[in-house]
Amino acid sequence: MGRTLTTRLLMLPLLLWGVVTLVFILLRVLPGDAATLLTVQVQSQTVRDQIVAELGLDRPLIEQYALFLGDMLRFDMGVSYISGRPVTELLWRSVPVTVELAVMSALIMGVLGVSTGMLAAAFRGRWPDLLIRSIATILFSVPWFWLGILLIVIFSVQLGWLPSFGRLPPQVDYQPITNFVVVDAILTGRPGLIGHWLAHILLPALTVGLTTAGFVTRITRTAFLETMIEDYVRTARMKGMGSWRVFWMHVFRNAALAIVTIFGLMFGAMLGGSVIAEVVFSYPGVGRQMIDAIFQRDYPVVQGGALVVAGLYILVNLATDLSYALIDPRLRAS
Amino acid sequence: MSWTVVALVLLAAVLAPVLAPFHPIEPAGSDRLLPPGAPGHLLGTDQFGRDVLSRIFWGARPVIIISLAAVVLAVGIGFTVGLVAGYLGGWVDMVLMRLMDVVLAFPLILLAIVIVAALGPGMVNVIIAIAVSQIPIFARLVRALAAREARKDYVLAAQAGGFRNLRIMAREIAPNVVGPVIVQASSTVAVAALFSAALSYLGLGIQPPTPDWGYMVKEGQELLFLSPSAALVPGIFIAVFVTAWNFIGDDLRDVLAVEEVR
Repeated sequence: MGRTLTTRLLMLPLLLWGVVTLVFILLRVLPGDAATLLTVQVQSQTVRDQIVAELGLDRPLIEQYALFLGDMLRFDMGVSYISGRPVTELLWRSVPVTVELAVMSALIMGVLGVSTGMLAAAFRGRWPDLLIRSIATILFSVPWFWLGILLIVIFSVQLGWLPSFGRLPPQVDYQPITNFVVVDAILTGRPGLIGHWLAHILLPALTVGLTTAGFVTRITRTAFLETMIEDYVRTARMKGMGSWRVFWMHVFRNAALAIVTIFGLMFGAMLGGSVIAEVVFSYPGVGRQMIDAIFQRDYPVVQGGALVVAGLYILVNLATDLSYALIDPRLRAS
Repeated sequence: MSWTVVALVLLAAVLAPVLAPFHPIEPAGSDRLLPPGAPGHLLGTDQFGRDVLSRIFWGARPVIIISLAAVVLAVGIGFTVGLVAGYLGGWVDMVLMRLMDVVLAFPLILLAIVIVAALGPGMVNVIIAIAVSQIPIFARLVRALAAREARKDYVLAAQAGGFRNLRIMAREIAPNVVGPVIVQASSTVAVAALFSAALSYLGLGIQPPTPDWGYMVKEGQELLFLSPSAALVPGIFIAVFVTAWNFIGDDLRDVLAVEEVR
């Protein structure tokens, strides 16, 4: 932990500016950017001119950039070319879906990864350790999309237990309020919604959770092994402290720190995995929205999606740092 | 074992024209969607009647070229950035590393997706997209290692000896930080192969009719209820190839006695 929390907070605006600039460069400056391709596709000269003027593409690049920064400060992400709706409105609908999926995946990843990692550490060097480590390596070597398809083949095609696409059955009437199904189900007093939602989210969440759990297994195993040989653990043992007490008071708390540190990083993997899983399962989150938008050359939607996902990722990393400081008294002081 | 798998895949890619029993793009006959084990077609045929085994042989090419080229590119740029930042320190370090932070602010696969969306599909663009997404990983690693080396006596001696910074970085520091980079590079080949397959699966990578394992899974998915093997078989090859590289990374870590880099 080279940098303190304060410097990280001070760096935040700079980082956000960097992210916005990178997206600008990718989608507007590079040759073959979406905006140019879009105008090439449009046949009519007048319509093309109109789009070009609307986008400000006829202005110098630096002016476009200034306008873009201004829009970003006002959270104005433009209007979708395809649906004509504001991008913020589209994101408002899709982002909670992805957040639900990421949180669910994180639960699966955390429970599976930490428990198997602890088990491997406990059996260090013996066959359960080797088995768990091999499975962990295989799990993070499997392509996300392929694991998703495998789960569909098993649970939807063969067993017919779980649906293979979508977020809720089409016949269910769902009027989003917050667009978080669990929250809305409670608000509107329709607990039945939660069952449908769980049935649909399980396979995509398993896809992302399983492929990322392997990393957590590894980190957990190393963290526990490293903590168990620390001097303070030996001292506690010598004092005659019971093994369970040593484990919870000294080993677990300190190993947990190492695991929390990587959670931010893992959340990035989960967001990335969600993008793919959403495509596999036609799950209406921001990832699928972006991929669809890429094919339709609906570039404000691609841009908005990229910014929101990056923003989300930055937020979670910040929250990870904060919680790290809360758990570790040494950092709280500084 | 892992090296054998990688060698076999490499062999399959190089010898695809000799090994493949059928043309990878032309239909092999009128039999469509034959299951694996069908006479004459070890892995069956796809919905166009093309021999799946032949497409697997040819499909090894893009995944190998893309994953290796992307890693070479990422290591080349990341190593240079990290070396310069770690050795020089100061504002150069500051600027370069904040730049890397910006790239790392995106989930890596998402960044690769957006870059390919901007550049357009195709092998070269996929290589660039994957390489860019992996550069910060090498830059950070090499920076940390180089900063540590820069304070050691042998570097101070070289500085006192009046050698130019460029020479000190290239001849003194670089050889001493190369070990962990090799380990990281081998696991990154695994990541790059996964990314390449994912981009193809999304339809943003290698374009049909060129055989590619990721795209074969996508084509197969549409026929999941008719013939699950069409989607599952090519995915197994991706998984085996990637697993092999991950095990190679682990082996190298033990052999080169590299401490776990966090």
